[in-house]
Amino acid sequence: MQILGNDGDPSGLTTRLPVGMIAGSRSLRSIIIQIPNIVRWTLAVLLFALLVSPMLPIAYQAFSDKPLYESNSSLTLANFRTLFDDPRFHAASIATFWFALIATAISTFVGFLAALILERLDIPFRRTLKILFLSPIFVSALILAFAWSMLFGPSGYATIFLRAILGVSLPNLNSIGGMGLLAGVTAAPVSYLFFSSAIANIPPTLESAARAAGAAPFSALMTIVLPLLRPSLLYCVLLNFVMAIDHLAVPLIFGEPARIEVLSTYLYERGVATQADYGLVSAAALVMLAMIQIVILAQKSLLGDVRRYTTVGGRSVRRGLVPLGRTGWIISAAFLTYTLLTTGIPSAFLILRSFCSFMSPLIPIHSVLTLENFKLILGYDAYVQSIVNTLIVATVGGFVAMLLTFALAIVAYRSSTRLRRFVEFTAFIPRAIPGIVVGIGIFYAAVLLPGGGYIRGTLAILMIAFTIRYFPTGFAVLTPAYLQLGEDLERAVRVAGGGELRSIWAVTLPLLRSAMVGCFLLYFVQFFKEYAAASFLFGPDTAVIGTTMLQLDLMGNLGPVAALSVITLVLTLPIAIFIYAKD
Amino acid sequence: MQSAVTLVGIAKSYGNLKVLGDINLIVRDGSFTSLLGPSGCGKTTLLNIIGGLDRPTGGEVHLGPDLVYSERQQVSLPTERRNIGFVFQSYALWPHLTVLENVSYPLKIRRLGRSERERRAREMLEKLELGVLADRYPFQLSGGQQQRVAIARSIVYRPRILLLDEPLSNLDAQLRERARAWLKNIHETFGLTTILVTHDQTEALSLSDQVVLLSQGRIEQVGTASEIYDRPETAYAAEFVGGANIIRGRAADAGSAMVTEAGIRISVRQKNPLLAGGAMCVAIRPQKIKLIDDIADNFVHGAVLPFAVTTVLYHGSVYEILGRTQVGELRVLTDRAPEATNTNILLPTEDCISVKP
Repeated sequence: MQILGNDGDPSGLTTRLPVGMIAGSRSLRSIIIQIPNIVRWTLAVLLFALLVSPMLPIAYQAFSDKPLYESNSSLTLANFRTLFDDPRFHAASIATFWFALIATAISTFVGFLAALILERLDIPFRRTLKILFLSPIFVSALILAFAWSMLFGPSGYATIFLRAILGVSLPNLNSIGGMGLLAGVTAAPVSYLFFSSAIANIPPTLESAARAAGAAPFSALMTIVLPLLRPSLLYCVLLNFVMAIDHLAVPLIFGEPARIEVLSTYLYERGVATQADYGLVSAAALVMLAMIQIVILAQKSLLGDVRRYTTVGGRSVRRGLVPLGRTGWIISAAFLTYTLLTTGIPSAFLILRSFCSFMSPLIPIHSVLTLENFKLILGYDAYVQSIVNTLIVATVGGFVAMLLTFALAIVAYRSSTRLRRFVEFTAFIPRAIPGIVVGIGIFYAAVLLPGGGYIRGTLAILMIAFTIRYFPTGFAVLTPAYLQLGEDLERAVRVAGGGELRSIWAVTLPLLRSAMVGCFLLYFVQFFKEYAAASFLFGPDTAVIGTTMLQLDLMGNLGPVAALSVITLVLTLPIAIFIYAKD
Repeated sequence: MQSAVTLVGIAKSYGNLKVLGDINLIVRDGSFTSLLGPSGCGKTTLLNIIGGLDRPTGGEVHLGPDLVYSERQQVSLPTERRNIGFVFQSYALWPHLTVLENVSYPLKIRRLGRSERERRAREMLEKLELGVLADRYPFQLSGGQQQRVAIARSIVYRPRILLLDEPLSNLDAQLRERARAWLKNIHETFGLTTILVTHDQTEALSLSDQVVLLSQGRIEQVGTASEIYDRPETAYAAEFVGGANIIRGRAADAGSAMVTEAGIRISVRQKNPLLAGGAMCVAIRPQKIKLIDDIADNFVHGAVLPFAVTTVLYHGSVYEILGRTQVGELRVLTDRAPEATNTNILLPTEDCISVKP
């Protein structure tokens, strides 16, 4: 039985082999024993290839003197020289920095404050406010940006209304500050989720201990809970910064009219142009990546030994909220105002706008009410096609992505440590790649790789790009549930005589069903919302809702944009609420 | 002696679920009291109520001369104003602070100057032989060290009582024995009124002046360690502390003996007139039961029963023997293995204690 001693095969698939087969030739035997391992490594390497595939053509193109579809190219730094000599690139880099900084500051601050208030203070209507505050997560940033633009933009309804009636002028949102504010507000719920889960991980006894030592409730919150949130704070800053660099909707809708360019719009403009300078675009993409890497490195060195912040929980105890009395009502009211201003009113306005041919505070609404916008969208094949495409990409792509995630979770957590580290490392690579860069990279890869022609101009290429982009999120959602399962349940099947695949089929799949549904729905909603990566990849027959909305907006058709937004909301909101309202 | 803690009619329920009912208890100043009971008996809830981490649904809590909780008078002093020390089962050391910072935190809250609080914190650490650990973070400490730092943190400001929630349960067996002696030492050195929650009877018996045995949210018995062990009042107390055998029956001879359903008569050490005429149990410690191979050898007064051995477990110093008798299954601890499967046992009257069922 020495064959079972092979440490590379903890799964022991060999135990199922009929005795007769073991008597085969020695080399054949060793290959058969290795099969599960080979399968695992193949899957892991395929994942790696998939997730880095957008990067390689970009890196290659950035240092190449000819467009990638031409042969006989040679290495050069000319692209970077052109890039760094471009004054618009300079301006875009500086603008990106300020934009990301403002967005990060606002998102982190608001998210942090919201988490402290909603998770730890006893205020009236806490749960309702929580759902309201989280709602921007359900809605695509693109849609919110449209809504804000129509309401608070320089020619927006509220802006004109306030100026005409009250003589108050709103600050111009078509500026770096305004863009940063909007990007920050869209990202604030993400920051909130970060901090709230961090707060939930701090055992309540740490606070009770401070209380017993003599600290008042609020003082315990400030001296114990707050410092323990430092790692989350830094991580959240990092995440927000990367998200801001990656942000396309707000810079496109608010930056373009004011001729403010950031790196993402710089890339977008040059990437979608018909006469694209491939070398320049690739060089800019690489610079963008480098910026993100620097932020990540900075975060790591700032944090030091994370165990200083790791808490070990005892038994879970019901966590008391800090009582506030009358102040609680004031905080609740402030909170409600914030959510109404940022989400409630803009969304309501967007819905109203979709039923109007034109909107201005100077014209009574009943005279402009119409269903034309919806008729236009639903009466035009290309628009309907984009809705159908989006649904296909989100459903089929989401399902395939979920299966891939599941397979890789098994590869990662039921194998050797080496393989696990490799998969974990690989799975999070796309976190550091902006959506636009994924789009450009996949587009180049399809040009460069043999057989790429077959998927160019199909929905498959969109699905691949979206999967790459959201794999880290899906993986992060599925794996905790998988880890919680514990290996012993599967081992019990093996001991009872079942094989590895049977143990997965009989135990893992049924027990993970709800986590897998959650993972699929997450992919579904994200794929539905995605537009940045799609901008470079869609063809005449493969437009998705996001790209159609951007085109309509460029043409100034605000009514149809609003109608399409409402259609999107109707299709995704129930699912999104289902995902986030579960807990 | 003054009382440090007085509980009057403490009750606690979550909706319809009654966790504690009518608890009355006095903890004397400077004493070491254990709240002993199995998990779910309400002992931690009671400790939290004394500490102010949980609110009862009825009754009064006095700490020394102060009323800190009263349902009737609408008094509820929060934890931080009770001046108590609390050690949590998980120790709850703040991971982002060093040992020294952890210990000086309560002094900081009490607005002591920087140098003064550092001096007092260091002094406390020295006393508990933790001086060398001052600049470490909690994650760099062993379990035993964490437990001692947690105690240092909770007594550095001289609280009026020290509340300990199973502080030894996270230590391994060997360490626990040493920590027990250390804890007793601390109590004697500082003279602090201490209340310990534990499910470990050895811990309660070896440490406490007063043991409060709890069962299903009620006080089963209160007494010194030897009272609880030697004179259990109920079958539950005798069984939970020291694992006595319980034989059920009815009182006979005005409470000086018991007769089982099978008609076996067992005389008890002390007449218990309170139980006369009603149901009664006899408790006998397994090590007090004697195996006798020949009835003629017997010079001790007591009941003799035939004993059919079912299981023999060798523990090293003793044999644990389980067997069937006419009064049910009994557990016997002896220093020798039984010679035959069917033998006799003697229940010495001197060791048969009458208890309430």
